[in-house]
Amino acid sequence: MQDLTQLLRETAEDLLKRKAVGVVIGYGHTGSRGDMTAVFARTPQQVSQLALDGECYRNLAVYLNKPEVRKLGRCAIVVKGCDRRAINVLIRENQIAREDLHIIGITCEGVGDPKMQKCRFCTVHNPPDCDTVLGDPVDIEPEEGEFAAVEAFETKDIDARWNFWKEKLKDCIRCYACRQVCPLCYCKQCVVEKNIPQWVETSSHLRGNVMWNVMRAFHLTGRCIGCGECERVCPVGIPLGLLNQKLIQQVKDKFEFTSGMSADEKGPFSTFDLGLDTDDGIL
Amino acid sequence: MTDPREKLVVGAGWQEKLVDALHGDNVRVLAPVLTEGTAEFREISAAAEMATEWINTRTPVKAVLFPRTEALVEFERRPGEDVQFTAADNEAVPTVVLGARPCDLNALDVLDTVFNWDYRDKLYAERRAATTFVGVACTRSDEACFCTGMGGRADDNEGSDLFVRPMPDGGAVLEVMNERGAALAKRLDGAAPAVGTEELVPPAQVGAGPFDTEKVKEWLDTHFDDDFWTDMSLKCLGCGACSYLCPTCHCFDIVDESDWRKGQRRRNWDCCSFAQFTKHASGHNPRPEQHSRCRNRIMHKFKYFIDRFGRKACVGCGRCIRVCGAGQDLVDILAEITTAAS
Amino acid sequence: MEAIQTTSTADDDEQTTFEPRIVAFLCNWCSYAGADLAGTSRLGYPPNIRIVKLPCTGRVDPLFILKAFERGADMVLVSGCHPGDCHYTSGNYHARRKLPTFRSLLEFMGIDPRRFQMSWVSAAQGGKWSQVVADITALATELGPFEYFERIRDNRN
Repeated sequence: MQDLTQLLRETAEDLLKRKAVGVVIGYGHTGSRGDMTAVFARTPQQVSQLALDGECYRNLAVYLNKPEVRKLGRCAIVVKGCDRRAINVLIRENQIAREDLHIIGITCEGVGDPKMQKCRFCTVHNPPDCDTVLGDPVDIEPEEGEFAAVEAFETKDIDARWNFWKEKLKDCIRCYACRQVCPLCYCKQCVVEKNIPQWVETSSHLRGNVMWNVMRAFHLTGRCIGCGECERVCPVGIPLGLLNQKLIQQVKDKFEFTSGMSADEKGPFSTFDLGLDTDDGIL
Repeated sequence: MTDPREKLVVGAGWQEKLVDALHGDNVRVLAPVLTEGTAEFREISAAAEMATEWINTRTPVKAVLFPRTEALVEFERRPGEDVQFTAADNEAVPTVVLGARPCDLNALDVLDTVFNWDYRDKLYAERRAATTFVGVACTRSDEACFCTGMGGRADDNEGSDLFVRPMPDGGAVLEVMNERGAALAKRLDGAAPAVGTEELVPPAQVGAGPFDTEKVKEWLDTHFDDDFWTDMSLKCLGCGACSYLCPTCHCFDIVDESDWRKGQRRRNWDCCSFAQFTKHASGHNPRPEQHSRCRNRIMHKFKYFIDRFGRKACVGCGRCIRVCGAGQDLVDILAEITTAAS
Repeated sequence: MEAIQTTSTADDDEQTTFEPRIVAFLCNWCSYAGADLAGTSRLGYPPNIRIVKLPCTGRVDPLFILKAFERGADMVLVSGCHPGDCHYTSGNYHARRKLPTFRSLLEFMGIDPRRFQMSWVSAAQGGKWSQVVADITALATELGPFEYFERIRDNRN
């Protein structure tokens, strides 16, 4: 991967030197612990902080929503295929214009050690529609059983399911890390911050936590691209990805839709299909 | 470190004896319990439930005294009557916290200061008075720990009522630090005496971190406006994980939750990283951008608190580093400030 | 209309005094008018239903449903125009996608999906409205009180 890092630095340096962009958002081993975190290269000198390796698991697309980052000027951003999907959703929802971005795609065989769950079922190893692509094309077939965890959970009866979620959700401290890290949670005012009326109680008692976590998950229906960042950052270990996976499965089965595959797509709830939709379960 | 009033050497099995005695007294015992690889303070009914190997609990001990949500008052309006108010049922329960870490107990000094400063917080004070803390010296640490950099130690007995220095065979040297600790030690009368020598498990070696808090303070005094804040905050996503799990952070919000008939006024943890934290009713926000919020967090811990109360509001437990989803690292921030100050 | 499966018998009903609370979100143009027709036609239906009138089923945010449960509803009904009849052309088509998906999330969370019902009742279907309410009230009675939020109402940690 060393040569890819070199290529990335050259690309970033060129973009910054000719002022094509104001910032290159990428990965780098920052700090004394060497964790792979976000790097914001704003000058040609800073490109030496950029790096690429198998630890690029974060989804940097979240930073495109930050006003502080947007103020730095036109953004170049380093993305894997999954992150690229998040950008497609941001474009389709008019949060950012394609021409305001220089997308540096990296082909990806999967990240993390051991490989993250999402990488096993990935269909976008080669990020589409990028301005620069780094790395050789990757040809890996997704594994079977993308929704195995959902199906396994659904073998539980209804009371066991509720008991499971009750135990998990009672630990929620309402830090909103799940919301803040999500590239698709960009509302300037979240529903939990609306208090006339107070739709979602802010207290971290179970009642408020159930309301918050159900609504968070549902707001991402047909939008979530399954990057898994919410679950990764949850400080109390709530399996948020399982809720997201259930909804990803639902829109795939019912509406034949997979989020973020193109910037032109319409979200499943902003359209309908008389040939597909049924009155099942409606009196 | 403070010299203990008294030392006690007990053999293996002392925890069982203590927990059983406390249950006989109807005292609630909280101890670190391992669940899915994480330790959390939970009520235990037997000493065997307590974790044996843990670095620190996920949630700091502050949550025992200052829970993340609690009712303050309840109100109800019955047809044809005025609104009735009743105090919420949050009477302090006699509690012993067994197995708190020295960093968390050092942090109680910060909480004591804040909750008794210009106003004595009744709920906090009552819980504080009803709770006895048994600190345990750390024998393991991880790369996020930096208590020594904040003037603490892995075997610091400061803040404990009774302090435990574990021995390899399960016995321990107990240091009685005050009256409350003495009362607890009394419940151990007749515990098996230690066998062999009083050899201790060596305390964990915790690095101090490449920073100097004196220099950090000097720099903060003169650099309220600096590009450093913009740089260091770009990564921050503005969630509340670091503050909520910080043993010294103590901000709270007060909310009313009710339906048309009855409800509660509650106190919840709040956090200065949230964009809405300082937002006024007028719509004006004095901390409009993330850098001003990140700056406040650092300033509060390493400048404002020192200016006002003469001590740092950080104990080096490392939780903010462990939980940060963006990979923000307080030690690195302090190191950078130290470099800038030199 | 599909019949709702219930196993309750007249004997069971005599033993219970539980009266379910059902919150119904009705579209202004069809179901609300249908309920009105049931009234003017003097068709009886159980009084367990509390009606909230909205312009369209497309307006129903799942938040409303969850909030109704949180505030003590035992069942929630969303009812509107039949497909093709929406006053706003397509509001009910959107509701038909969004709300059943929400129901599947509730089921995944361990909340009995039968507690959230949907129906299409036109302005001319006073009889159907009366029947829907009778059926779901019987079902709600059989399911018993919805205690999930009640049980978690104790706000101490």
